Amino acid sequence: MQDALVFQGVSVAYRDEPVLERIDARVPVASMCAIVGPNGAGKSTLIKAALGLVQLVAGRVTVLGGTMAQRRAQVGYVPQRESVDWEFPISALEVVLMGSYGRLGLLRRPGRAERTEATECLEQVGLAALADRQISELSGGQQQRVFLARALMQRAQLYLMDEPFAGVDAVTERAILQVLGSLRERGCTIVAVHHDLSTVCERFDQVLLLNKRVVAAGPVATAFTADALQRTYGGRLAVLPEAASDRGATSSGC
Amino acid sequence: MAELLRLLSLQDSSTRVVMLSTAGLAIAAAMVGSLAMLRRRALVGDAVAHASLPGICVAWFVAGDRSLAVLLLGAFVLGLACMATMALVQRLTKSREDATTAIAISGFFGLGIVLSRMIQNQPGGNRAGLDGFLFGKAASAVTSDAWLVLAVAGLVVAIVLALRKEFGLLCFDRDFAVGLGRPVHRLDGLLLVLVALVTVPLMAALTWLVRFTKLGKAMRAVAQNPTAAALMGIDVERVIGATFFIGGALGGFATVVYAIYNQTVNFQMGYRMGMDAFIAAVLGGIGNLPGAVLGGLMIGVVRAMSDGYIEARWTNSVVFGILILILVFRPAGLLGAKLREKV
Repeated sequence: MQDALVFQGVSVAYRDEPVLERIDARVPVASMCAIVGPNGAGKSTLIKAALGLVQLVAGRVTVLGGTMAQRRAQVGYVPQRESVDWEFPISALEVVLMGSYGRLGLLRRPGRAERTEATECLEQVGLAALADRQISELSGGQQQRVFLARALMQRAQLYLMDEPFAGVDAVTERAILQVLGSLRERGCTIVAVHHDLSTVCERFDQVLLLNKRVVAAGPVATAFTADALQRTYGGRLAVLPEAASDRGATSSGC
Repeated sequence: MAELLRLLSLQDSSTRVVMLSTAGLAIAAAMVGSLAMLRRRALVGDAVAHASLPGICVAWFVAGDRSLAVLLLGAFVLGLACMATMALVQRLTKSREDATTAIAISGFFGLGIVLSRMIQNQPGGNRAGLDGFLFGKAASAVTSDAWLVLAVAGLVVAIVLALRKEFGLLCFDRDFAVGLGRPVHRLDGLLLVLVALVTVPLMAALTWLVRFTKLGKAMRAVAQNPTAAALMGIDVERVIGATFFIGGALGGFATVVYAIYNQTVNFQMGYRMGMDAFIAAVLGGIGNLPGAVLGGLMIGVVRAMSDGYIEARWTNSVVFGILILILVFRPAGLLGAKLREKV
């Protein structure tokens, strides 16, 4: 098994509006892949398509060599922070415990073993002291890290993350990167929607440039070129990192 | 006073059972209600309550039976139909959840009013006193009905406790639940079924209070003619006090719902609502329940239209203008109930 995640001719439409058209891409095992593209390019939708949260019009997604339904237990998910209501009456530890629900089934409750594990997950993201806080009392970066801890609790092989670095400060960023690094050392694969073009090279080794179709995909060194970025973002070249645009149209952005 | 003491000290076995069942129901309703609220579906219970009226009518048409179990079953089935309608409208159109709920409430309640009119207009002895029978024969059935209600409440509590963590997950982060492979559609459906299971008996309980308790009878007597009621030995002041107490409690309940919905509270928030409610009642016809509902709907629509097409600062003037026009040209209100002195 070479690839952790394979898209074959995946198309998705909301109502009659096509959002993703014939996506073909593969993410190798134990890599970190960034999904990059302008707003409305379908980045979150691609993640949701992999998870089975949106219906495919055509195509197939292969996860860790099987279908999503077969491999669910091995896939962790970190949604966008804005996707939930942070006023919800629940503590940080309880959110993390949700990561164990997949193993527990419908009727069993998390017990002492799960609580211990959840505390460890919170420790890994540096939030052990805030375990009993109601989630609205956490800062944005801390909330993001709670989501990450919940994904760790899933003990997954493949992690799908929707903008894990959105709106977090330098401390949180470092904490998240550290966790992702150790996950990768264990052989886990990480696929993340990413917005900050200037940090793609240092954090990821694979990249998927997306604008409703796949513009370029593969190792950062070959796929992340100024030319490909221009085709992804259209005329809005001003957003390109200087490194990429300086080196001419064909060289890598790194 | 002695009667009140007897009631409060639970000396009656039927009182004990009724108390027990309403308390059980209240516990179940509170649990399901807080889940529905967290799932942002606080008004679904309201929609179901309105759908129970046509349900009761249909059950009466089909079975010709007036036992509580049959009527509640009818109410429950139509309640489910109401929720299915909401789900369908939600899926087929882009309406927001609250708009969908409003559509379902008005549609099903309208159907119920039509059906209940049809029943009242039916010839033959069967129709006699349907009003009184709509929710079962209280005098003979109270104890067994109360057991039924208690059993339903117990079932709801058991389901909620067993699936507590799943409902919590569903309410907090639906996408994550899907990602874990949870049957979210079925869990959502189950939650709605639970809402229906507690809403219908609660409404029946309120109706039961007005229709069958001594207090309810006294309320209606005082409303019809306070003097005659007093001559019959009813303590008019006490009944008025109790009525205002219940009204106040319902108002308090409505305030909590309203405040939770808008997530804000201020000292004057009730004033405009009160004025609108008053205008709605006048518009529909004072003392006419369907009229009040109709008036409320119309005032709501007029407010929205005026905000949208005229200008928000003129809205109050428009609404009060309608009040003046109604008082001048049709003081009995749109549905034309005869004006009568009310408590």
